[in-house]
Amino acid sequence: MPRELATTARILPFDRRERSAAWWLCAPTAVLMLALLVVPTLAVLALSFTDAELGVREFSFLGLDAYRDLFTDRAFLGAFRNTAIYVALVAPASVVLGLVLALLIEAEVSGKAFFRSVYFLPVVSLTVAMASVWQYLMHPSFGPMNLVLKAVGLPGVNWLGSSDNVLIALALIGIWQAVGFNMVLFLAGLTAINRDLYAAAEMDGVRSGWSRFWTVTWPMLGPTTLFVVTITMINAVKVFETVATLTQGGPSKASEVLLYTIYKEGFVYLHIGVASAMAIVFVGVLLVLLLVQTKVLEKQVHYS
Amino acid sequence: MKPALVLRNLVKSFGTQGILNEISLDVAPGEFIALVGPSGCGKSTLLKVVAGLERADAGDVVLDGADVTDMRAADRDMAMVFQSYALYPHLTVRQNIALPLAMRRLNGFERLPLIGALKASTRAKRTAIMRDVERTAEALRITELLDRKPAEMSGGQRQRVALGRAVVRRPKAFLMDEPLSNLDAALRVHMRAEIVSLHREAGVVTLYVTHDQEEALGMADRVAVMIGGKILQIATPEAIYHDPNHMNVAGFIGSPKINFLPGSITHNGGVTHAGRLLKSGLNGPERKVTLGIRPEHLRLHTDASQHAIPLHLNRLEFLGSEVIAHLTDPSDGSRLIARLQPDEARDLTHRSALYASASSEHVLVFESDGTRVQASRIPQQETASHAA
Repeated sequence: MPRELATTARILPFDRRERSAAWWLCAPTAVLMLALLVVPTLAVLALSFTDAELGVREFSFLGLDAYRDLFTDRAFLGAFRNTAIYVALVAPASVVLGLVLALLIEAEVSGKAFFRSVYFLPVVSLTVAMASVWQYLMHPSFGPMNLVLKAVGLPGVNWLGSSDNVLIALALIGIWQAVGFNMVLFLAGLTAINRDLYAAAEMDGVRSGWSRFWTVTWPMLGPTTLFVVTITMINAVKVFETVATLTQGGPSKASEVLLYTIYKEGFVYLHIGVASAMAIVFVGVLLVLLLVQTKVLEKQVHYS
Repeated sequence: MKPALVLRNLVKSFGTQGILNEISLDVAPGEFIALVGPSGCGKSTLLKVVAGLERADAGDVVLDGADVTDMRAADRDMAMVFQSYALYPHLTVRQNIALPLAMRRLNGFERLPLIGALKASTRAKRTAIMRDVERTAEALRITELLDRKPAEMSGGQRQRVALGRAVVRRPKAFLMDEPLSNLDAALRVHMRAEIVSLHREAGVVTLYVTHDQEEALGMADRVAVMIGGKILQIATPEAIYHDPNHMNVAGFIGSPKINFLPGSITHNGGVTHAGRLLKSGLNGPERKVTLGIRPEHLRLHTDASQHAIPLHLNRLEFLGSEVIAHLTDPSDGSRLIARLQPDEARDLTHRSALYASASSEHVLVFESDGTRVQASRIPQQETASHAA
């Protein structure tokens, strides 16, 4: 017993010193986090309840009315709806295509590195620069996409100029951007699968590639798929560059999306209060997506 | 009796690296063969070739009289147990064990989760599968685990489930790839007995790959020692231990390791080490050889005799039921090990100069290329030394 006491007494000051060292080591990050993340977020939250405008001295507190106004604003609701459609088009297609590409590349004996780089190029290329390429590709009269359609006898499509097609056209670009990234994530997930499982499946009489996929690959890719779906949806919700460079929300607001609307309210019309409320809704959407995916789906994809 | 499994001249190499070098093996029906060897000797590759998971460059695999060399693994009707267990982590134990049955008895449509169950015939098949799964689970005493997932079980339980998945469909052969290596020592010993009794009940050919010689000797009907892509010897555990046909077999099997001493064969057929005659009655010209004496066959005593090897005792290691003596041979400085009964060791404690002898049938003689020099047929009655 005395010996135990002696030991504790000897450890305590050391422990205290270690604690303060820990605080000092954390301090730079903590301060930065507070200054750059927590305080601005709180400021935005505060501003969202007001009708503040940049350059206008006085503003009034609207409280929850700010949000009521937002959800009766047709432009905002339109942006909300367009973003939802965009996500619904981009996320499933780019996840499925990314998986298919990863499976094809994984099965490929030679040229793995080549195809991996080719499909990854859109991820590393500058979206704003690539937008002009897409503008050319989708040009209604001399764009290659329409030339191909016409060559096979189909009517050309007014990709970016028609309010019926513009979201689809933007979604195509979004898919093109996301597929490479998803493919790389799936490739990483595929290499992490224990090879013995495939051997076991073969011994158990799993013959076709189709049943092998459903018996081993798909279940084992669960955590990867969850991550890919989450990341893809978040990225799709954040669509901005292609809209800003190619359509500016047009024609007739058919491609107004959340982030672009926030940008316009905040930086073009200088309606800081409205933009803040929109930003809070936007962050709320992202948080809900994250929560649903981590809490609900995580239980079903992690086996250990 | 016709062999149940025949491996004929199997050759396999990765690039220029030879992995399997003309492997041939006949396995009798119901026989338990342990493939043992150091890591990298090709034993796991050989098992995969037998399973059909890897293709051999040349040679044949014949199972129950049918050449299965060109048949894929799924069609060979063998079952495999893996070191990593390789259970499907998203399936319950019940589903894991049922999977090989479902794959073989149900077609793709019948395996669909809901639609498949609509037809009465399918329902009957599924009931039969579940009955078989439960019977297997009972035999392996894992019934209470049936609804758990692999992550919720210990290593030993998982390996039991993996065994269940292998035995449930009554395959023509069991292939086991170091199934016990991931278990702790106590469990390993326990599972050895379980696997042997499982094998007895199923009565099918079993190839058991291990690097653990105790497992190989303790479980198998015959042990195949594989070193460097070759089966050096295949024989009963007793023969492998007492009558190895190659220096590498003698060196690999046995713990503590066999003692090797330089020796020579004299013109009259005697075998000597440092001028002391240890064995006689061998044929052939005078030449240098290597002598192998197992630690338990070295007898230590304090009185000199002309056949005994003088040794220096460095240390005694007390292990409870036995004592290990660490010795040095002053003639060339090499280390030797002797294994003694505790009461034999008692008088030695305060001595450093000792003499060792071994009866002549325990002195194994190997040529410089490693092959065994077999004693001539004259019965060897005389011992090389008359130790007390």
